[in-house]
Amino acid sequence: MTNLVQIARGQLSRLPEVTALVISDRSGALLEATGDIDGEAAGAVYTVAAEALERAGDQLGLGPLSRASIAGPASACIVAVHDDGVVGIHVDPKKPIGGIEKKLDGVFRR
Amino acid sequence: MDAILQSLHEVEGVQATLVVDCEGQLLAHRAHAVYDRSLLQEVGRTVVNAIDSLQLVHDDWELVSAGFADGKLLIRNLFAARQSPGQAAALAVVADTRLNPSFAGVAIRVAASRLKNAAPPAISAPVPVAAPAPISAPVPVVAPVRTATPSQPHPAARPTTAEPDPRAAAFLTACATALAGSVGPMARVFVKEAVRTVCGAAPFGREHVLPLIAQLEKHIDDPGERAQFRTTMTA
Repeated sequence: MTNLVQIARGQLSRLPEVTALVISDRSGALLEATGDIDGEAAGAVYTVAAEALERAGDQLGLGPLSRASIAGPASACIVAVHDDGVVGIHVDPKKPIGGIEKKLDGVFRR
Repeated sequence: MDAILQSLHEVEGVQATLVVDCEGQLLAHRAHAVYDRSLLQEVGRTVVNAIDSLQLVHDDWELVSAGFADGKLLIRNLFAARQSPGQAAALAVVADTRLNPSFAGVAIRVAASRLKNAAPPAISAPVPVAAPAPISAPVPVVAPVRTATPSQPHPAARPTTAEPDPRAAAFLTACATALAGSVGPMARVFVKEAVRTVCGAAPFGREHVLPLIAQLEKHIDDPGERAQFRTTMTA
Protein backbone atom coordinates (compact mmCIF):
# COMPACT_ATOMS: atom_id res chain seq x y z
CA MET A 1 0.00 0.00 0.00
CA THR A 2 1.42 3.38 -0.96
CA ASN A 3 1.95 6.16 1.53
CA LEU A 4 -0.67 8.18 -0.31
CA VAL A 5 -3.34 5.50 0.12
CA GLN A 6 -2.49 5.32 3.82
CA ILE A 7 -2.88 9.09 4.14
CA ALA A 8 -6.19 8.93 2.28
CA ARG A 9 -7.60 6.16 4.42
CA GLY A 10 -6.29 7.48 7.69
CA GLN A 11 -6.82 11.21 7.32
CA LEU A 12 -8.43 12.56 4.16
CA SER A 13 -11.49 10.32 4.12
CA ARG A 14 -12.23 11.30 7.72
CA LEU A 15 -12.51 15.01 6.98
CA PRO A 16 -16.20 15.95 7.22
CA GLU A 17 -16.06 18.21 4.14
CA VAL A 18 -14.95 15.37 1.90
CA THR A 19 -17.76 13.74 -0.10
CA ALA A 20 -15.64 11.49 -2.31
CA LEU A 21 -12.02 10.80 -2.95
CA VAL A 22 -10.00 9.20 -5.72
CA ILE A 23 -6.30 8.38 -5.85
CA SER A 24 -4.48 7.40 -8.98
CA ASP A 25 -0.84 6.83 -9.78
CA ARG A 26 1.04 9.14 -12.13
CA SER A 27 -0.06 7.06 -15.12
CA GLY A 28 -3.71 7.63 -14.20
CA ALA A 29 -4.36 4.09 -12.99
CA LEU A 30 -6.78 3.92 -10.07
CA LEU A 31 -5.29 3.16 -6.66
CA GLU A 32 -8.21 3.91 -4.36
CA ALA A 33 -11.64 5.52 -4.49
CA THR A 34 -14.20 6.16 -1.82
CA GLY A 35 -17.59 7.82 -1.90
CA ASP A 36 -19.97 8.37 -4.78
CA ILE A 37 -17.47 8.65 -7.61
CA ASP A 38 -16.50 6.81 -10.79
CA GLY A 39 -12.94 6.37 -9.61
CA GLU A 40 -11.39 5.04 -12.80
CA ALA A 41 -12.72 7.86 -14.95
CA ALA A 42 -12.14 10.64 -12.44
CA GLY A 43 -8.67 9.39 -11.51
CA ALA A 44 -7.57 9.45 -15.13
CA VAL A 45 -9.09 12.88 -15.68
CA TYR A 46 -7.37 14.41 -12.65
CA THR A 47 -4.03 12.88 -13.59
CA VAL A 48 -4.20 14.21 -17.14
CA ALA A 49 -5.36 17.64 -15.93
CA ALA A 50 -2.62 17.80 -13.29
CA GLU A 51 -0.05 16.91 -15.91
CA ALA A 52 -1.30 19.71 -18.20
CA LEU A 53 -1.28 22.22 -15.34
CA GLU A 54 2.25 21.15 -14.38
CA ARG A 55 3.29 21.74 -17.98
CA ALA A 56 1.70 25.21 -17.89
CA GLY A 57 3.57 25.91 -14.64
CA ASP A 58 6.84 24.84 -16.26
CA GLN A 59 6.21 27.06 -19.27
CA LEU A 60 5.47 30.03 -16.99
CA GLY A 61 8.34 29.37 -14.57
CA LEU A 62 6.01 28.93 -11.62
CA GLY A 63 7.71 25.85 -10.20
CA PRO A 64 6.09 22.56 -9.29
CA LEU A 65 2.32 22.23 -8.95
CA SER A 66 1.13 21.58 -5.42
CA ARG A 67 -2.62 21.50 -5.92
CA ALA A 68 -5.49 22.81 -7.98
CA SER A 69 -9.04 23.54 -7.03
CA ILE A 70 -12.03 23.36 -9.34
CA ALA A 71 -15.12 25.27 -8.29
CA GLY A 72 -18.58 25.34 -9.78
CA PRO A 73 -22.14 25.78 -8.53
CA ALA A 74 -22.81 22.05 -8.25
CA SER A 75 -19.38 20.53 -7.73
CA ALA A 76 -16.07 21.38 -6.15
CA CYS A 77 -12.85 19.45 -6.03
CA ILE A 78 -9.27 19.79 -4.94
CA VAL A 79 -6.61 17.97 -6.90
CA ALA A 80 -3.43 17.47 -4.89
CA VAL A 81 -0.22 16.27 -6.46
CA HIS A 82 1.91 13.95 -4.37
CA ASP A 83 5.09 11.95 -5.07
CA ASP A 84 3.08 8.72 -5.21
CA GLY A 85 0.23 10.00 -7.36
CA VAL A 86 -2.64 12.40 -7.74
CA VAL A 87 -5.52 12.77 -5.28
CA GLY A 88 -8.90 14.16 -6.30
CA ILE A 89 -10.93 15.26 -3.31
CA HIS A 90 -14.58 16.14 -3.90
CA VAL A 91 -15.97 18.55 -1.36
CA ASP A 92 -19.30 20.24 -0.66
CA PRO A 93 -19.51 23.09 -3.22
CA LYS A 94 -21.54 25.21 -0.82
CA LYS A 95 -18.69 25.37 1.70
CA PRO A 96 -15.60 27.56 1.30
CA ILE A 97 -12.80 25.60 -0.29
CA GLY A 98 -10.09 27.51 1.62
CA GLY A 99 -10.74 25.68 4.87
CA ILE A 100 -10.21 22.23 3.44
CA GLU A 101 -7.14 23.43 1.56
CA LYS A 102 -5.58 24.45 4.86
CA LYS A 103 -6.39 21.06 6.34
CA LEU A 104 -4.79 19.41 3.33
CA ASP A 105 -1.64 21.44 3.88
CA GLY A 106 -1.52 19.91 7.32
CA VAL A 107 -2.12 16.40 6.05
CA PHE A 108 0.58 16.69 3.39
CA ARG A 109 2.75 18.82 5.73
CA ARG A 110 3.30 21.61 3.20
CA MET B 1 -10.42 43.73 -24.47
CA ASP B 2 -7.00 45.20 -23.65
CA ALA B 3 -8.64 47.56 -21.16
CA ILE B 4 -10.34 44.63 -19.44
CA LEU B 5 -7.06 42.74 -19.14
CA GLN B 6 -5.26 45.87 -17.99
CA SER B 7 -7.70 46.20 -15.10
CA LEU B 8 -6.55 42.79 -13.85
CA HIS B 9 -2.95 43.99 -13.78
CA GLU B 10 -3.93 46.50 -11.11
CA VAL B 11 -4.20 43.56 -8.70
CA GLU B 12 -0.87 43.09 -6.95
CA GLY B 13 1.02 40.03 -8.11
CA VAL B 14 -0.62 39.64 -11.52
CA GLN B 15 2.08 38.97 -14.13
CA ALA B 16 0.14 37.98 -17.22
CA THR B 17 -3.41 37.68 -18.46
CA LEU B 18 -4.64 35.84 -21.51
CA VAL B 19 -7.90 35.02 -23.24
CA VAL B 20 -8.11 31.85 -25.30
CA ASP B 21 -10.75 30.22 -27.45
CA CYS B 22 -11.91 26.63 -27.12
CA GLU B 23 -8.99 25.40 -29.23
CA GLY B 24 -6.37 27.22 -27.19
CA GLN B 25 -5.85 29.99 -29.71
CA LEU B 26 -4.64 33.15 -28.00
CA LEU B 27 -7.22 35.89 -28.60
CA ALA B 28 -5.75 38.60 -26.39
CA HIS B 29 -3.02 38.93 -23.82
CA ARG B 30 -1.22 41.37 -21.63
CA ALA B 31 2.00 40.48 -19.89
CA HIS B 32 5.35 41.58 -18.60
CA ALA B 33 8.18 41.25 -21.09
CA VAL B 34 9.28 37.90 -19.67
CA TYR B 35 6.17 36.30 -21.16
CA ASP B 36 6.17 36.79 -24.92
CA ARG B 37 3.35 36.01 -27.29
CA SER B 38 4.68 32.64 -28.46
CA LEU B 39 5.11 31.46 -24.88
CA LEU B 40 1.60 32.56 -23.94
CA GLN B 41 0.24 30.85 -27.05
CA GLU B 42 1.78 27.60 -25.81
CA VAL B 43 0.40 28.20 -22.35
CA GLY B 44 -3.03 28.84 -23.86
CA ARG B 45 -3.04 25.45 -25.54
CA THR B 46 -1.87 23.75 -22.37
CA VAL B 47 -4.55 25.50 -20.33
CA VAL B 48 -7.24 24.34 -22.76
CA ASN B 49 -5.92 20.78 -22.55
CA ALA B 50 -6.27 20.94 -18.78
CA ILE B 51 -9.80 22.35 -18.82
CA ASP B 52 -10.91 19.98 -21.58
CA SER B 53 -10.02 17.14 -19.22
CA LEU B 54 -11.48 18.68 -16.09
CA GLN B 55 -14.81 19.46 -17.65
CA LEU B 56 -15.35 15.77 -18.34
CA VAL B 57 -15.97 15.47 -14.60
CA HIS B 58 -16.90 19.07 -13.73
CA ASP B 59 -19.00 20.34 -16.61
CA ASP B 60 -20.23 23.20 -14.41
CA TRP B 61 -16.75 24.49 -13.58
CA GLU B 62 -16.39 28.23 -13.14
CA LEU B 63 -12.88 28.68 -11.75
CA VAL B 64 -9.76 26.54 -11.69
CA SER B 65 -7.08 27.74 -9.32
CA ALA B 66 -3.72 26.03 -9.64
CA GLY B 67 -1.17 26.65 -6.89
CA PHE B 68 2.53 26.33 -7.68
CA ALA B 69 5.64 26.81 -5.56
CA ASP B 70 6.24 30.27 -7.02
CA GLY B 71 2.82 31.50 -8.04
CA LYS B 72 -0.68 30.78 -9.19
CA LEU B 73 -2.54 30.18 -12.39
CA LEU B 74 -6.24 31.07 -12.25
CA ILE B 75 -8.55 30.06 -15.10
CA ARG B 76 -12.06 31.43 -15.38
CA ASN B 77 -14.68 29.81 -17.60
CA LEU B 78 -16.30 32.25 -20.01
CA PHE B 79 -18.99 29.62 -20.67
CA ALA B 80 -20.46 27.41 -23.24
CA ALA B 81 -22.54 29.83 -25.27
CA ARG B 82 -19.30 30.96 -26.87
CA GLN B 83 -17.49 27.63 -27.15
CA SER B 84 -16.60 27.93 -30.81
CA PRO B 85 -13.26 28.74 -32.44
CA GLY B 86 -12.45 32.44 -32.32
CA GLN B 87 -14.79 33.08 -29.40
CA ALA B 88 -13.47 33.74 -25.91
CA ALA B 89 -13.70 30.50 -23.91
CA ALA B 90 -11.45 31.08 -20.92
CA LEU B 91 -9.57 33.83 -19.14
CA ALA B 92 -6.27 32.87 -17.51
CA VAL B 93 -4.39 34.94 -14.97
CA VAL B 94 -0.77 34.24 -14.05
CA ALA B 95 0.36 35.63 -10.73
CA ASP B 96 3.27 35.48 -8.34
CA THR B 97 3.07 34.67 -4.64
CA ARG B 98 2.00 38.21 -3.70
CA LEU B 99 -1.47 37.65 -5.15
CA ASN B 100 -4.33 38.15 -2.73
CA PRO B 101 -6.82 35.43 -3.73
CA SER B 102 -9.86 37.39 -2.52
CA PHE B 103 -9.00 40.55 -4.45
CA ALA B 104 -8.07 38.48 -7.49
CA GLY B 105 -11.33 36.54 -7.31
CA VAL B 106 -13.41 39.69 -7.45
CA ALA B 107 -11.32 41.26 -10.22
CA ILE B 108 -11.46 38.09 -12.32
CA ARG B 109 -15.21 37.80 -11.87
CA VAL B 110 -15.69 41.38 -13.05
CA ALA B 111 -13.30 40.92 -15.97
CA ALA B 112 -15.02 37.68 -17.02
CA SER B 113 -18.38 39.38 -16.98
CA ARG B 114 -17.07 42.20 -19.16
CA LEU B 115 -15.37 39.76 -21.53
CA LYS B 116 -18.57 37.80 -21.97
CA ASN B 117 -20.27 40.98 -23.12
CA ALA B 118 -17.38 42.09 -25.34
CA ALA B 119 -17.41 41.67 -29.11
CA PRO B 120 -15.30 38.83 -30.55
CA PRO B 121 -11.75 40.22 -30.80
CA ALA B 122 -9.24 40.16 -33.56
CA ILE B 123 -6.06 38.35 -32.52
CA SER B 124 -4.08 41.00 -30.74
CA ALA B 125 -0.48 42.05 -30.95
CA PRO B 126 1.62 41.77 -27.79
CA VAL B 127 0.99 44.58 -25.34
CA PRO B 128 3.76 44.96 -22.79
CA VAL B 129 2.88 46.16 -19.33
CA ALA B 130 4.67 49.23 -18.06
CA ALA B 131 6.77 47.96 -15.18
CA PRO B 132 8.20 44.46 -14.84
CA ALA B 133 7.85 42.90 -11.41
CA PRO B 134 9.69 40.11 -9.63
CA ILE B 135 9.09 37.24 -10.17
CA SER B 136 -19.76 15.72 -7.97
CA ALA B 137 -21.51 13.76 -8.99
CA PRO B 138 -19.62 11.31 -11.16
CA VAL B 139 -21.16 9.80 -14.23
CA PRO B 140 -20.68 6.17 -15.17
CA VAL B 141 -18.21 5.57 -17.95
CA VAL B 142 -20.34 2.90 -19.56
CA ALA B 143 -23.74 4.48 -19.84
CA PRO B 144 -26.84 2.32 -19.84
CA VAL B 145 -27.31 1.65 -23.53
CA ARG B 146 -29.02 -0.81 -25.80
CA THR B 147 -27.38 -2.10 -28.93
CA ALA B 148 -26.45 -5.00 -31.06
CA THR B 149 -22.81 -5.85 -31.70
CA PRO B 150 -21.67 -5.30 -35.29
CA SER B 151 -22.04 -8.99 -36.15
CA GLN B 152 -25.55 -9.27 -34.79
CA PRO B 153 -28.82 -8.22 -36.40
CA HIS B 154 -30.33 -4.95 -35.36
CA PRO B 155 -33.40 -5.55 -33.21
CA ALA B 156 -36.64 -4.47 -34.84
CA ALA B 157 -37.91 -2.87 -31.68
CA ARG B 158 -35.87 -2.00 -28.65
CA PRO B 159 -37.23 -2.40 -25.16
CA THR B 160 -37.89 0.92 -23.52
CA THR B 161 -36.60 0.03 -20.06
CA ALA B 162 -33.42 1.68 -18.77
CA GLU B 163 -31.83 -1.65 -17.99
CA PRO B 164 -28.35 -1.85 -19.56
CA ASP B 165 -27.90 -4.23 -22.48
CA PRO B 166 -24.98 -6.52 -21.63
CA ARG B 167 -24.00 -6.77 -25.33
CA ALA B 168 -23.73 -2.98 -25.57
CA ALA B 169 -21.76 -2.83 -22.35
CA ALA B 170 -19.45 -5.56 -23.61
CA PHE B 171 -18.92 -3.74 -26.91
CA LEU B 172 -18.15 -0.44 -25.19
CA THR B 173 -15.82 -2.16 -22.75
CA ALA B 174 -14.02 -3.73 -25.72
CA CYS B 175 -13.74 -0.27 -27.27
CA ALA B 176 -12.23 1.12 -24.07
CA THR B 177 -9.81 -1.80 -23.79
CA ALA B 178 -8.66 -1.47 -27.40
CA LEU B 179 -8.34 2.31 -27.09
CA ALA B 180 -6.45 2.06 -23.80
CA GLY B 181 -3.54 0.47 -25.67
CA SER B 182 -2.97 3.84 -27.32
CA VAL B 183 -4.24 6.46 -24.89
CA GLY B 184 -4.06 4.83 -21.46
CA PRO B 185 -6.66 5.18 -18.70
CA MET B 186 -8.37 8.12 -20.40
CA ALA B 187 -9.85 5.56 -22.81
CA ARG B 188 -12.93 4.98 -20.65
CA VAL B 189 -13.55 8.71 -20.43
CA PHE B 190 -13.22 9.06 -24.20
CA VAL B 191 -15.68 6.21 -24.76
CA LYS B 192 -18.21 7.81 -22.46
CA GLU B 193 -17.85 11.15 -24.23
CA ALA B 194 -18.08 9.54 -27.66
CA VAL B 195 -21.29 7.73 -26.74
CA ARG B 196 -22.74 11.02 -25.60
CA THR B 197 -21.62 12.78 -28.79
CA VAL B 198 -22.76 10.08 -31.20
CA CYS B 199 -26.03 9.06 -29.55
CA GLY B 200 -27.17 12.15 -27.71
CA ALA B 201 -30.21 11.12 -25.72
CA ALA B 202 -30.96 8.15 -27.96
CA PRO B 203 -30.11 4.60 -26.97
CA PHE B 204 -26.92 3.21 -28.45
CA GLY B 205 -27.76 1.18 -31.53
CA ARG B 206 -26.04 -0.67 -34.32
CA GLU B 207 -26.14 2.47 -36.45
CA HIS B 208 -23.93 4.19 -33.87
CA VAL B 209 -21.10 1.66 -34.01
CA LEU B 210 -19.17 3.09 -36.95
CA PRO B 211 -19.62 6.75 -35.92
CA LEU B 212 -18.45 5.77 -32.44
CA ILE B 213 -15.33 4.10 -33.81
CA ALA B 214 -14.64 7.14 -36.01
CA GLN B 215 -15.04 9.40 -32.99
CA LEU B 216 -12.72 7.31 -30.84
CA GLU B 217 -9.96 6.89 -33.40
CA LYS B 218 -9.49 10.68 -33.44
CA HIS B 219 -7.76 10.26 -30.08
CA ILE B 220 -5.08 7.96 -31.56
CA ASP B 221 -2.15 9.89 -33.00
CA ASP B 222 -0.23 6.98 -34.49
CA PRO B 223 -1.69 6.01 -37.93
CA GLY B 224 -0.74 2.35 -37.46
CA GLU B 225 -2.39 2.14 -34.06
CA ARG B 226 -5.43 3.96 -35.43
CA ALA B 227 -5.79 1.43 -38.24
CA GLN B 228 -5.31 -1.43 -35.80
CA PHE B 229 -8.01 -0.01 -33.53
CA ARG B 230 -10.45 0.27 -36.44
CA THR B 231 -9.67 -3.26 -37.61
CA THR B 232 -10.16 -4.66 -34.11
CA MET B 233 -13.43 -2.89 -33.49
CA THR B 234 -15.00 -3.59 -36.88
CA ALA B 235 -13.94 -7.25 -36.97
